[in-house]
Amino acid sequence: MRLNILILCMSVFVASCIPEEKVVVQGMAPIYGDPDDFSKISFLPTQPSVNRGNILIYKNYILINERLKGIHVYDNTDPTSPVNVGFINIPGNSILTIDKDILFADNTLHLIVIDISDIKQPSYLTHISNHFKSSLIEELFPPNYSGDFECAKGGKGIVLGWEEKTLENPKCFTNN
Amino acid sequence: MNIQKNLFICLMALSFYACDTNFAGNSEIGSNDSSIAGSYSTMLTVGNKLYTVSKEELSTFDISEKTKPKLIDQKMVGFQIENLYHNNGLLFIGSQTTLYIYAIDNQGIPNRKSATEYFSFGSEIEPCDPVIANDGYAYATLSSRNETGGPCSRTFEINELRTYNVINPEQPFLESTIEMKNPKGLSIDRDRLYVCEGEHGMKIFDLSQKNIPALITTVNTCQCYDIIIHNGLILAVGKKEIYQFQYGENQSLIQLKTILL
Repeated sequence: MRLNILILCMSVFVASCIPEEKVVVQGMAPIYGDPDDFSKISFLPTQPSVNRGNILIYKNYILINERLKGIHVYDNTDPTSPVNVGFINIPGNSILTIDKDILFADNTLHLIVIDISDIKQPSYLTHISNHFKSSLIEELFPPNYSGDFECAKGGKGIVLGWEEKTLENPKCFTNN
Repeated sequence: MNIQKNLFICLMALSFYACDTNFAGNSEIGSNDSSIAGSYSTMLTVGNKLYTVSKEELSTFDISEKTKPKLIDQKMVGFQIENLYHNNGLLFIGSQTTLYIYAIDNQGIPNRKSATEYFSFGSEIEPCDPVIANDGYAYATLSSRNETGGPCSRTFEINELRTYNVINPEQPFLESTIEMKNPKGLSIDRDRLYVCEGEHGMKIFDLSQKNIPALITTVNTCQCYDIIIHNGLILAVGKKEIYQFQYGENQSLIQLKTILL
């Protein structure tokens, strides 16, 4: 992280020394979402696993967070043949715990409370606004990627992922 | 005052022995409608309280009413917090530089008992990785290698498993240091300590002497970063797979089907 900030500052410094010239490169740009939209919390068919987050055991299930997207659900009733049964869609999610069939999850900004008594019918109950505000900066660069990217801007919403895009004068760079 | 304080410490120490039922755990193991997490967790419940750590703060919610969680406490902990772990009424918080211990009082509010720095020479080194605890001892992995894209510094090579005596949570002290290759997530079960070392496999230590983990074996084929153990099922989490084991005779491990992600 420290290195990223350093490189960010360096590139701003260098850019300020060079006369304005449009640089067009391929890079990554943030995909924004509305942190106040809880209507997308739902159970979906199985989804691809790209960027694994934390893992939980819950009842006979193994729950695997997909960073910023939600939770893969594996039925592990028979550990010799676990079955991927679907996906709890929670845009922006990477932190989770379950107590008495209640899932507490973040969506990058808010703490969300979801009833999963029936895991295939997750039901949004309530949320605590802005509880994870101070962690937001951690999400501001694309994972598993080296190169230029469009800096994520606060105020545009929460970052739900990254997409390839043609960028003009990108100010951010990561070496991760 | 001093007598009271000493008495309190005594009681705390006693409670460690009295409460040590069997397994370590991040939550109230046994209830089957709650989750068991690995060692990188930053949110957990104890009783009817929910605890979260952000990069800097520890927050407590009362969750007696599930539709109305109520923030009842919030305090600054430190910087670059990595994980939160619960054992016997104590919250262990690992940051990149410090092991923090909080005791949960009877209102559910955590109060700081100690902050132990991993290094006495400043924070130039910022190793990654979590701390767990059981039965009066805390185990922390420190590693400077980072192939998972986390915020670790790589300016200095350090790869260690540290054991701290926390029988008195107000005065933890270092019991032993074991050189490792790339230690990451870890877990305790049945007097065994399991430590994931990425491409270097999973190391299993005997904890008969809790202050000095003794290496039993390395499972080279299990390239894991975190580990979760519950009801005899061991999940070792790799980059793109989850290795599954269960116990055989004499706590040998029988490998089950690997889940490919």
